[in-house]
Amino acid sequence: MTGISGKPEPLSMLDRPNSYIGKSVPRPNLARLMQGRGLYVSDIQLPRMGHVVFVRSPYAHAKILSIDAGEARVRPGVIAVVTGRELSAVITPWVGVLSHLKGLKSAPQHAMAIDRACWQGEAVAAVVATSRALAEDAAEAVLVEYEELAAVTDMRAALDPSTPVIHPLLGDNLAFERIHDTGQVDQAFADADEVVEANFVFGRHTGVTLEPRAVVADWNVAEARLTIYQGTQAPHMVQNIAALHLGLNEQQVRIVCKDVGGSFGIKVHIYADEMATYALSKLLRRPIKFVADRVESFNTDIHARDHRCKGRIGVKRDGTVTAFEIDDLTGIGPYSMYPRTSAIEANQVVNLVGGPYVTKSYRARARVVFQNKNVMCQYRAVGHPIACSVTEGLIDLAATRIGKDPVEIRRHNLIPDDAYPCGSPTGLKFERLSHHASLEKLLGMMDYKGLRAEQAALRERQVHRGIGIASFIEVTNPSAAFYGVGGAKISSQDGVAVRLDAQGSVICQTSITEQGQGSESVTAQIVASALGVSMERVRVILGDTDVTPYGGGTWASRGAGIGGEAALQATKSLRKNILDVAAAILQSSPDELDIVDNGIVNMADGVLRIELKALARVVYFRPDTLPPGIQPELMATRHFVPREYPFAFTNGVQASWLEVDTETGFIKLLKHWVVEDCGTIINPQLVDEQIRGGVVQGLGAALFEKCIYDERGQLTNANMADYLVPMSGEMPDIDVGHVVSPTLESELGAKGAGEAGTAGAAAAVANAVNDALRPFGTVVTEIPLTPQVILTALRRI
Amino acid sequence: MTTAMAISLQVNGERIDAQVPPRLNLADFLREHLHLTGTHVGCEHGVCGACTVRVNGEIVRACLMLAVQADAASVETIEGLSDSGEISDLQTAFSDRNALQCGYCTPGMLMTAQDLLKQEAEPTRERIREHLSGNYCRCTGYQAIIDAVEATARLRGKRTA
Amino acid sequence: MIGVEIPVMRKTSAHFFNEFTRRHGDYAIVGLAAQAEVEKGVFTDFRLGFFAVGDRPILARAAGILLSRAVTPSLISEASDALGVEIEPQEDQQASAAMRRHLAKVLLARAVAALLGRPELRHAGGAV
Repeated sequence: MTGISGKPEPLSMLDRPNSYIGKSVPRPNLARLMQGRGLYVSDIQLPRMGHVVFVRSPYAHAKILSIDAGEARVRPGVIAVVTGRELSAVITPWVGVLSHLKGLKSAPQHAMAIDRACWQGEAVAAVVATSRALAEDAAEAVLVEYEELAAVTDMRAALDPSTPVIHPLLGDNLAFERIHDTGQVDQAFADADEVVEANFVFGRHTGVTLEPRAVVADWNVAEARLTIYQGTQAPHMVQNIAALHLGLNEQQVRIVCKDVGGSFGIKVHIYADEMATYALSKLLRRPIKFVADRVESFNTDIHARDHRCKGRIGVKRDGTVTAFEIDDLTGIGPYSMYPRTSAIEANQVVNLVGGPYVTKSYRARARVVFQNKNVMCQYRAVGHPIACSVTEGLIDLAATRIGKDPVEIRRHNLIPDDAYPCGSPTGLKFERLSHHASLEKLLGMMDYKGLRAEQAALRERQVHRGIGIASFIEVTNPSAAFYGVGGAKISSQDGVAVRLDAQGSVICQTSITEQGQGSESVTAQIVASALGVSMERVRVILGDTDVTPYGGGTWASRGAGIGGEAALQATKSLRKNILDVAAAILQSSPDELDIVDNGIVNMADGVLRIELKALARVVYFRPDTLPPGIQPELMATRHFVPREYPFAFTNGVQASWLEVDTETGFIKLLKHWVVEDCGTIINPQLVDEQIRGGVVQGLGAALFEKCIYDERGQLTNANMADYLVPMSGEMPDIDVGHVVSPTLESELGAKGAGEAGTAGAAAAVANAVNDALRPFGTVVTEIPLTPQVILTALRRI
Repeated sequence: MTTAMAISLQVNGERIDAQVPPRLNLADFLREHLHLTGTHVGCEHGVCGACTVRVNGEIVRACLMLAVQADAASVETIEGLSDSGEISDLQTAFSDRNALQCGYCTPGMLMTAQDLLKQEAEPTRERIREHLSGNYCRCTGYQAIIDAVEATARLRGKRTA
Repeated sequence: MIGVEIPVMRKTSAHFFNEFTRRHGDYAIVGLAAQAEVEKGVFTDFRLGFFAVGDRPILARAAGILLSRAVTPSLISEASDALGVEIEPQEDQQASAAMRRHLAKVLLARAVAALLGRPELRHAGGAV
């Protein structure tokens, strides 16, 4: 793999001897997780720690008339009962807007509601006690008097003049609107031989991380320092925000991330109840622990993907797609989330529809409206699933209309593999993608022709199977274009510090974070390979703002691409420093030496000259034996930020093979395939596993998951028996293949891969279901595709 | 009844005597009283399987059992099964195949997988999926876990053959 | 109740069990436990225990329609219609009453087909 430009080197950094790049090595340090000896936030116990339980509004929209905590305060074990008003003296409110999302508006949100609760589950008071159980007992004794208000619970009516405006000072319930119109769209539709329209409906769903959100906030008044233990993906962002709203300097706040039981974007946001927990610690001057229970999680973890999208496609009889058009409506909560905003998802949908195709004519309107439901924000693959489902659904509809095979119409319209660099109608810049190569590889992997033959044979026996294909592009390695330009203190760069220790081990501190995707492993693999040491000698430290360089963290599929490049550059620098010292000790010159297998060797013949640990011993303990004037430096730090491309786009294609029981509406997923091009792959197993996990989240969205609100804004299925997540019994095996188009923006050439699986899985399933039901003439453009939905579409009920 | 009750039980082979509130569930007892935090709480309503432990040799959901119900019982947690070496081959397979990412479901998965492997020598992938169908994982998508259990079953078969 | 008598299985005994769930281990959306005596392709005894079709399991009287007669698609249809009237399924987030009623009829046809060894009857009874 040679993704480098410019200076020639004997071997690229990635092709060095004993390189771990491209190897599926097991992750280090899994033993503790498998022994049940990990350290998750809910495992943490600190002296004098109090437990907080929140009293939450049972109404979707209500004035808070009074809170009587007298009885609660004297219950056993109670340390304090604090209202929203009382806490506002300690922590300031926030507004979830960014300047680059023109027109985005939102109202100030407090850590706990003061005058008014705006969604069922919003915290209005906090009970702190010596145990969670005692806090829950006391919470029942907190008397809150509410005056119920009319709730906005149907996004379609949110902008009607007769619908109450949730925040009167904002004027209406429109949080954000974006319009895009390029390429003479009306003419393009007029030029089409056929125009197909469909209404796509997506069920609101949520992350359901197995470890619920949890925080331990520890304000040490003597040190005037706040330590927050939290499974956040972006510790420096949390540090910045906690300091800002608590009136502290950043260096007074330390964020520590230990083991995290899953995040997928759920734990990258700023939550009111977590901010309340920080504030309570400061107020009460002792550690406070908050662990959401599962019902709370459903009610207050960010929701996502609540969209109704009208889509239109124009196509010529020869298969050329002339235009795309969408009108997307999404209903968020009563506040735009902080600091990443609840407009990004809709913005992404507009950006990404039509992305894989050459079609230049595209018109889009996206509106984001406030509702009295839980808050909504970025969750794995942000907006991509919507954009992909709409685009790929329209492509299949167009194919059916003109009688073309779904693969043929894609071959006809996907951007050619030699067209790069190029851009999309929405201004996205593509460095190099591989839509066609990926599609061909996919067809081979799945034996497309064989499956079509099998499908035809089974149809004759009234067995209805379907094939669904979904191409997609994915945003990875975002630059400041994503958040920074809008004023968010979210770093788009990351840093890595590496040092050689006295016994020859390599200590590496990185600003990216780990939630199970393998950040630690990928970092160790790069460092070990670039330096020439075995991986067991590399120790990676992450998730501690006191200890790591300043950085963005792991989100938007940026850890390997950005953090990995920083690791590579830092290690190259350390390598040079080591060779400088080695040359001095060995009376040689640096370019005659190399580091291989934990030792300094001759570049020419590979003979070992001195072990690294011996060199380290000299540097640290016997510098008196070094030639005069030398100041050895066995530590190096480098940061990396993408400068040329606002995002490193990747591409992929997925296929679903399934069977629909047309009598019962039940769907059986038989098999799933993904071909993904994410550039240089550092650990193939980890990438494939990210894809599989992402696919299954998409399969959950396609068939099972939906937050069901009633017309009063009550979430009616806030438990794991009624909100259906995918379990092992219903999931298929998933075959993963790759095409590799490295980015030239970094030496590593790695793009991101964390979200690709989720981006396209639901689209592939929906297309497969419609393919299976083709003989019946039904088309379903709604997910989740429950048996009820299928039977209704087939008019069996 | 809110006064504490005395219980006496074995946990990972160690005799434990404790005074517990009747309403305390077994998962919370293990985690908070014994500081055996390997048993994880994911839902507290018996659906996710993260709290799976062994009581008198059978797997149970510790969130659905009261600590007082474990009086005179033998309880085994992931820590015990790890230290005894009973599942070391399964753990190696999990590591080799990256059958865990965040690790939160892993203790429950290992307990349930071991329960299957003790009952069936060569379960099919379908049987493995079925037996693990009550253990929620959000990270892996399950395939690597199925692979790891299948591989372990095969290796155990070779050893006893 | 002072006693329960369970008849011993005979050579002519046959049974059927199936339930529809979204996922392994979930509570049934609709389910059927059926017990029959089949002699020369005719039910000499036939009991249908449906569950999740109401607020309690029921022994469907509609089974009587299929007793001691030659079973044809139109007879299954008749039994199916009778079943539809007999049960009062509830609505919840998993299924509407109409869907439960429909699935009960599907199960009836599948049970008859399986018990008589006549797969072509699976789609009978208005469940197509």
